[in-house]
Amino acid sequence: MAAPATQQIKIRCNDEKEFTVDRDVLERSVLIKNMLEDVTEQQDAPIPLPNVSGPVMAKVLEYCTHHRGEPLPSADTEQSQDETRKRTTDISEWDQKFITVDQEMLFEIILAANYLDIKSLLDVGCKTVANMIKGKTPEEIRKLFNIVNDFTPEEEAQIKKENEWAEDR
Amino acid sequence: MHQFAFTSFTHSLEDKEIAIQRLDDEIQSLTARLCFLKSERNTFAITSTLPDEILTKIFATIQAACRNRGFDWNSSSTLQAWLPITHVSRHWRKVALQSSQLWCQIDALPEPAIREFLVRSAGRRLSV
Repeated sequence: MAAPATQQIKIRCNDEKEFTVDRDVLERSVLIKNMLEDVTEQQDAPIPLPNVSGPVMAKVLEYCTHHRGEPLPSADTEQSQDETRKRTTDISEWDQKFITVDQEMLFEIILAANYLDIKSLLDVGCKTVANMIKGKTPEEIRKLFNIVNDFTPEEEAQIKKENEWAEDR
Repeated sequence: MHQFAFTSFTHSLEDKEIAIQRLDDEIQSLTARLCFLKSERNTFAITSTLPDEILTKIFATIQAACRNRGFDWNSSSTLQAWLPITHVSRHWRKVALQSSQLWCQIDALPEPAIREFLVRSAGRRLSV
């Protein structure tokens, strides 16, 4: 007996690029899942996603397809301190390969994951940025992200004092 | 002749002080302007596209990772490892200082540091 056909959903990005995707893949996004639950009748019009471009959505869908069927994280309340402490910067091998993209795409994926409410993808993006920053000096971090030192002399003095906190011990 | 020279010297001292004050004021004003322009420039940095709550999440991830390296929480080495995120730019510092979750774990730190942690933890439940 043939397996029941998976419902296919159309989405439209902000550059008019359209995708037709299996419902269970799209439901990795809590935003889209809620939208689909609110629609009682089947509709042919694509779901508009005004905050995501086609190339970024293609990457997001690659992630959602790979992780389809995995349990979704429970509703996110404010993370407890214990949960925060458990948070590490470990990323699985597949996710690491997936997220090896240029800086612009990385930040676009993070923003898309935040907008579409895909917590696990947001975590992968944030951990990747955390790994890029971890262990670097402020000057190295500035260079990495094209930031300039904009502190006032008063703030610089306070920062100097804070650096002594760690050296004092 | 002698008296004239003395008066002239006194005037020049006063003039000099006024001139120095005027220049100091201008330097201060230009320094403030320079900081403002640099902050404006930083709004074009790629990290500025992230909402503050995501930047906070990244900071908390870095802090947790530093702790997981096996050092005591907020010991000098751990502090040295994550504190640089608060010294990058005014925007990053503002976001980090407003993230009370970063400051609610207080360990053996120098007294001025403990005082700052208490202020920045903003009434959040502390772990000592």
